[in-house]
Amino acid sequence: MHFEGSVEIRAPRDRVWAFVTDPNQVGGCGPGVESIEVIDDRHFRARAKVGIGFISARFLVDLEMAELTPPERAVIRARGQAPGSAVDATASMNLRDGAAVATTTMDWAADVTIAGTIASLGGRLIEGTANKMIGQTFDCMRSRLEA
Amino acid sequence: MSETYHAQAPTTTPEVGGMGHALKRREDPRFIRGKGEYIEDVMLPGMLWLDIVRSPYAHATIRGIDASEALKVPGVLAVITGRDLEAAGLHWMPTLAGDRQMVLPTDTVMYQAQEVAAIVADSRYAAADGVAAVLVDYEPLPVVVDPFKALEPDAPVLRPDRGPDKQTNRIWHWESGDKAAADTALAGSDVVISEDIYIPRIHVASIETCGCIADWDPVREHLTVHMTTQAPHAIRTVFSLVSKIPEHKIRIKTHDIGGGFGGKVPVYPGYVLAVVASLTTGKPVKWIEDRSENLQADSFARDYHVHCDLGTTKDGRLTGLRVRTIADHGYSDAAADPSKFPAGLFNVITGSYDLPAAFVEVDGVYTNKPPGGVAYRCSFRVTEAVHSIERMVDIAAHQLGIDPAELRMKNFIQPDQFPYHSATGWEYDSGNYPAALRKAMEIIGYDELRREQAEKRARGELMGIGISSFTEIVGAGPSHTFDILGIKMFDSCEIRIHPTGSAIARLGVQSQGQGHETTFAQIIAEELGIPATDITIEEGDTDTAPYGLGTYASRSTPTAGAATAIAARKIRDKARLLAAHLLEANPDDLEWTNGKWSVKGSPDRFKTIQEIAFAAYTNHPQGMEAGLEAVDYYDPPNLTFPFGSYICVVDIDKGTGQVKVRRFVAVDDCGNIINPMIVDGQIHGGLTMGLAPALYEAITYDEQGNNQAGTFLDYLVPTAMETPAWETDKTITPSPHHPLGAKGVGESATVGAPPAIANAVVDALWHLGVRHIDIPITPQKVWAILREKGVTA
Amino acid sequence: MTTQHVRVTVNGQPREADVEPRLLLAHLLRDAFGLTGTHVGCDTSHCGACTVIFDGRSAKSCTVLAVQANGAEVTTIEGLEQGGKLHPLQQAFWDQHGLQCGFCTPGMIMESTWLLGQNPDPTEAEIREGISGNLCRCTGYVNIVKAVQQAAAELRAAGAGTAEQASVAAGGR
Repeated sequence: MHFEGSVEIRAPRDRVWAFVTDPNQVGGCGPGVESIEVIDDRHFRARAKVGIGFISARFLVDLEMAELTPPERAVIRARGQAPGSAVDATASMNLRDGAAVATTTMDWAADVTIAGTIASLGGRLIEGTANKMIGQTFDCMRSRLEA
Repeated sequence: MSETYHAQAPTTTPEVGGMGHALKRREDPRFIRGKGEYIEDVMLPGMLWLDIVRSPYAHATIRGIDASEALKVPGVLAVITGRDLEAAGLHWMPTLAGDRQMVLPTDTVMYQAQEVAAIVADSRYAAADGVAAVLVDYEPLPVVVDPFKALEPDAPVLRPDRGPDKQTNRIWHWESGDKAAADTALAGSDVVISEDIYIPRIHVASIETCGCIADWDPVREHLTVHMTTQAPHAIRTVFSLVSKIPEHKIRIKTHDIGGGFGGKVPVYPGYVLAVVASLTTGKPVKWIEDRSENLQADSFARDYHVHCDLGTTKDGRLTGLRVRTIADHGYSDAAADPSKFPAGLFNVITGSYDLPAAFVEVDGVYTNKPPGGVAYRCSFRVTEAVHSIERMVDIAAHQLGIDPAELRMKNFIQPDQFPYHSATGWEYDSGNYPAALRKAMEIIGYDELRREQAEKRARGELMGIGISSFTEIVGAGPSHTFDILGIKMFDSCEIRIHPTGSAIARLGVQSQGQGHETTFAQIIAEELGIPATDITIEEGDTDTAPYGLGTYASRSTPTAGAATAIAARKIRDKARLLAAHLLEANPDDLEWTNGKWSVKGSPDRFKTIQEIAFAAYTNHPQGMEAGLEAVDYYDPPNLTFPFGSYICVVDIDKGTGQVKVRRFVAVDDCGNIINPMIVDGQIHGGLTMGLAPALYEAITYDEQGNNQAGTFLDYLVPTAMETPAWETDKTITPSPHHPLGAKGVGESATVGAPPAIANAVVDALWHLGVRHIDIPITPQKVWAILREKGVTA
Repeated sequence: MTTQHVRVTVNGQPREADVEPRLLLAHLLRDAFGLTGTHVGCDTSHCGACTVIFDGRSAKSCTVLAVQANGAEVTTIEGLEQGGKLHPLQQAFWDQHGLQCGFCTPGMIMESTWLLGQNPDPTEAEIREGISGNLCRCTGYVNIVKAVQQAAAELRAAGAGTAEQASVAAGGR
């Protein structure tokens, strides 16, 4: 599944960059994240509980900052596992100065592959759920950055 | 021969209950009280539970398995991985089709939900906790879901373990018939009808899933496996060959089986894992799969991509048939087809028609799916063949503007052509196809329905009438042609008459609800005059029953039923000698009537079978062995060819696209009938398992290889609401070579019903320009077609 | 894991057990009480093989926790036969060939007892709707419908309303 979009954030690019590359900050906005463990400056591990329809699963997700070009572009790769299910995702974020002063435009794209029980049982709900989760993630980032 | 009988009067009294009596089933008293004993009901002292870790990926490398957390779960005793099995050489096992499949992978998983590790625990809940605690490190690999893409040159080779000359996803290529003759016939035809027909992957979904209890006794060095298997004897042999445990140290024991339909023929990794776990722990180990495991990982049926070219003259005389098929077998060919028939009996695709030329070719292909091609109330690809030819004949009729019934009548193999030799090499034993179709047309009121359809069409309503005139091919099979892993496909019966005249019979087949305890007793009652209620039928204990290949492919009556009749006749022959001794008469002067040997011309001088049985143990003549028993291993001289004509009426809701089966008349001919009540029940069930794939059921995969119908939420087994009130009737054309004239019936309706329904739907839509719709014909599909054709509610 | 003590009246007999809070009623009946006539055929509450009568209503016992049954009255297939006489539905399923492999049969019969308790004279359509939460893979439902019709007629003829039958039909005791 491919998702992409663009968000306007009323915060300067440096602050946005610092936020999205700090696992503890950006991680707190991830869907269902319960805890973040930083392994090194490029790797971290999250525990997240995700529900699709009537199914829910607790994922253990390994994340890697695969590409960091400050303050322009970041690529994060994630691989998560739950009993009988797995998710693989690559997300890229491109930051540019917004039209207004002290704002940032973030063009993002994500490729997500879901495998196993969740994909089987939640199949027809996945796309909508994923869309909703992505929306919630950016809402969360924006509200924290704009606070 | 080939004469149609409309009734078959029983020759025995209702008290004896021989052939033709609608004897109430003898297995039912336990089932209606909840006292059946299914595998999950069996509890052994000290028994452990096994549960399975399954792969979320359809194709991935396993980089590591971390079971440390699982082993900390209270109650978890052991974790078994592919590496553990590899040490014992048990990580791969043979399939019945001569391929091999993994018990557990060491390096690579090949389908979503594949077994990856097993947890052994002291309760089912602890075992499930253990499964959730295992961490597997996977590296996903490219997934091949589409069998056509699997054949492209740059497709990854899914089974590099095969020999250097087999580094391709093409498993095998199989041909039947005369290519040149078919090509010539088609080239000379007025019209060639061509169509691609996909027959999707489906799952038997018996309401009881699969399971077993493996019980290794380390003192006696003996293994008992209580299991849900339709073929206990073959399983014992395979287990012995794989495990190297001597065959006399293995006992396979079935219990009541909650439906099989072919899904309980293969050996699944779970069975082997339970055996390994019991060998390791020295305790009984139970494995029961849950429904989602059953729907995601067990063997599947169908998945045939068929292309047909059917030649015909302008006036509807069929001239030739050419068929090219891609068979999606998943990652292993685990089908249970006879070894000379990798595409089963698919070349019966000429069906009920006198087709002078035919050529069929099939390519088996590997994909990242669980093993496919096994069974769905038909193991040997007859359903695929019948669906294809019945759809093609219907398209031909519509295209030529000939009524589908008329076109069939015109091309049927005629009653005087039997035994009929088909263009692909089968010898059809007997049949009367026009009689069955005529009868179905009379019952349903065909002409009146066509009038109604015309009126409704004028009003813009969508109503369709569909016909299927199928020919089955069952009763595998003659030993010169049929074997599975080298074991010839005979079957067996052993009968012992007790001194007081009651009896026990044991057979090599295995009931899964078909009512063997009743019907096989009726055969003995018919042959010996012993009341069926005085006869115990036992199956499924390999320590006591004679060897046989089991129950699938509608083979029990054609093979074991015949063995039962022949064994009973052997007993009757010995009884004659005993009677002669008791009556002080010459055996040649005796005649057999209704359970008695009597002196010809002196009907009051007789001995009943019960008197004779008593004498066999108390007063047998000098020089004769005591006892009264016989065994027969029956090697059928030919297959049997049940047939029938089905007519279906559907109404289509223009607003929702929903297809409603208004009426369905099934006229079946399965030869002579042992128990008409049970035959009707088999047909009702078979029809429902024909309705299901026609309109509702399909196992589909997304592009990542995720099974999208892994529970009953998405795999739509018909309820009583969708299922119509089936109307059944019979013609009776006995098999000329079966000792009882019987043919087998279990799968006929599943084979015959889907095209009747599909033909009815297309018949309702043909005037809109619809030529073919692949099954399942879901409301979504029909709705989309209606919108495309500009039809609105 | 901690356990809780549950007391359940099953087929008129008081039964009790210490159970994990997550234990399903189906497993309590089968594994703890040995009443294996209640079958489990799926894990999504679709198949109905586990249907029992729970405080007078039909319930899929795979979807009820054992702890929820504390203090409840449960009737299973084993509780239908009275004084050596089959319940009219049991007899009718046998007479009409309403079963083949027998696996769905206990749930189908239990659901039908509830159905006839609610509606003593159902039409064929009402019967089909009434058992539509119970899957049968063998019979094609034709003979199950006939069996329910036979039992309904018999129950009505026997006085439609004798206290005993009404109570058994409704699953209570």
